[in-house]
Amino acid sequence: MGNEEAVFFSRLLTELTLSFHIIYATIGVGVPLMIMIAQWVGIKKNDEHYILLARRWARGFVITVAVGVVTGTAIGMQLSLLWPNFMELAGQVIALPLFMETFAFFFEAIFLGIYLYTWDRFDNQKKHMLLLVPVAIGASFSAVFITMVNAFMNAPKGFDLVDGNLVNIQPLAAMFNPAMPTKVAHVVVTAYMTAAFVLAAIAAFRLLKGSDHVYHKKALYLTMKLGLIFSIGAAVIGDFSGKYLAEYQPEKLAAAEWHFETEGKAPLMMYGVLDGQEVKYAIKIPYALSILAHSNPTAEVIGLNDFPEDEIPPLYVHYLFDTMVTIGVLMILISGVFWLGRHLGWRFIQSRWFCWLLVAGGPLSIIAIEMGWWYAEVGRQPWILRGIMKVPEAATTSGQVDTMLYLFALLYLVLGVGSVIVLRRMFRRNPVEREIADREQARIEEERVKGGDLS
Amino acid sequence: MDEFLMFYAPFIVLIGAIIIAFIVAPMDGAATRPPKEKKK
Repeated sequence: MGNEEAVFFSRLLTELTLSFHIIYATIGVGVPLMIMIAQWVGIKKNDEHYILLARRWARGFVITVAVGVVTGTAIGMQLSLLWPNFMELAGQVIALPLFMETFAFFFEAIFLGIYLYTWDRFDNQKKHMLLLVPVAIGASFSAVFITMVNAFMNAPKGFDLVDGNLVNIQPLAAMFNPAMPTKVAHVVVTAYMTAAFVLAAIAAFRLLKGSDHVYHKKALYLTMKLGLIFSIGAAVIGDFSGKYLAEYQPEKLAAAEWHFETEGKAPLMMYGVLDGQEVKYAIKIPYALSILAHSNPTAEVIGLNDFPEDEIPPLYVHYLFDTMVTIGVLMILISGVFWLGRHLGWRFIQSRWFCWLLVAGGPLSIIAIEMGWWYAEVGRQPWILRGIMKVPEAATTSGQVDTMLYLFALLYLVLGVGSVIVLRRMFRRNPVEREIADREQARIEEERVKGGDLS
Repeated sequence: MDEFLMFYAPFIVLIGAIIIAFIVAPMDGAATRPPKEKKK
């Protein structure tokens, strides 16, 4: 296997691993906050349905964490095995958040274990909910630290490059690089958004399948409301990301928008096809790219023709970017209409077709996450460390990467199918209606025993 | 202005969204409200 093949298979394996991991990682980051909010509502309103929501979500969450641990470990291993030159160089500067991510995970895992095994040990539910605080913080900070590493790849800072060597290394400056705030905030808020819409999709599916229990209605209303809040947050932070890109990675923004000539009053291109440097059949939104880049409709936006040809990202990133934005806007609209419809008593939001739209919102959000990450990674090409190291320079020269690819693909297939089977069985064998009846029975029994003790 | 939007505003929006989520989550009156009757 030549070096070109090794680079190709290394890229393919990394893409496969990240694409698979990001599904579980996103749910793993977002769901703890949803559990915490559900338990908080249950305590505040003294409503058993919300407490049960938290309990059931927590059980499902454990499965996604277990798979996320395996794929996360695979990423750590592949970073060293597939990209040894990158790790040798960048590891000197950015190893700190990589280690901190591990500690954030341990922090989350330890308290998650205590949280799960102490559900009925606390008389005061508030004290039990406090155990979720470190779980949610640990999950979110795992995302914060690992995204700091990715941000560093886009905007490397915190060192001087002298004769190919890194000197004057400042790990904190590397962590708080210019790409960090927009990237970290966008990743975390979209994880919350996706978790909310995935949980909403499950509730909508149960309603579609004939369960009319108020538990599902409360779950749907809560998750759609949270989805609306976090999707608006994602759109606002996405706008800030446009400003960051225009300033620090203008070629990435220009590639996403097929913006070739540097000019003011730049339009935003939605969809379309590219014929040479001519954009056909696109929806052009006048001034919108200038506003996205600089908050000014007449501001100049740097075009792709200002960059060397071999430093321009693949132009198909336009479709990745458009898919992400389209789904994001669609989810704001769907959740906004649902929320308004619930308040104003619109009948159609209870129709089957609208319910199917809510079900589709879960997978669509995950597709948006995938598109966003592919855009983030492909849009950085040809660099692995922008301006310093290109992807082929970083890759291994091993001849066995293709074998690794097949074995890991098999592993992900087993994990993916296995986790779906386990989740389905877990919830099918213990439907909500039965669990509510069991808990009510247990509560009556407990009160009877307490009453007996008193007498 | 762009400096503020790139470095501070993302975290303000993120934390703001979390706080709003906790504030509005318990307001669930509409969750089980029946739809309006059709006008005859």
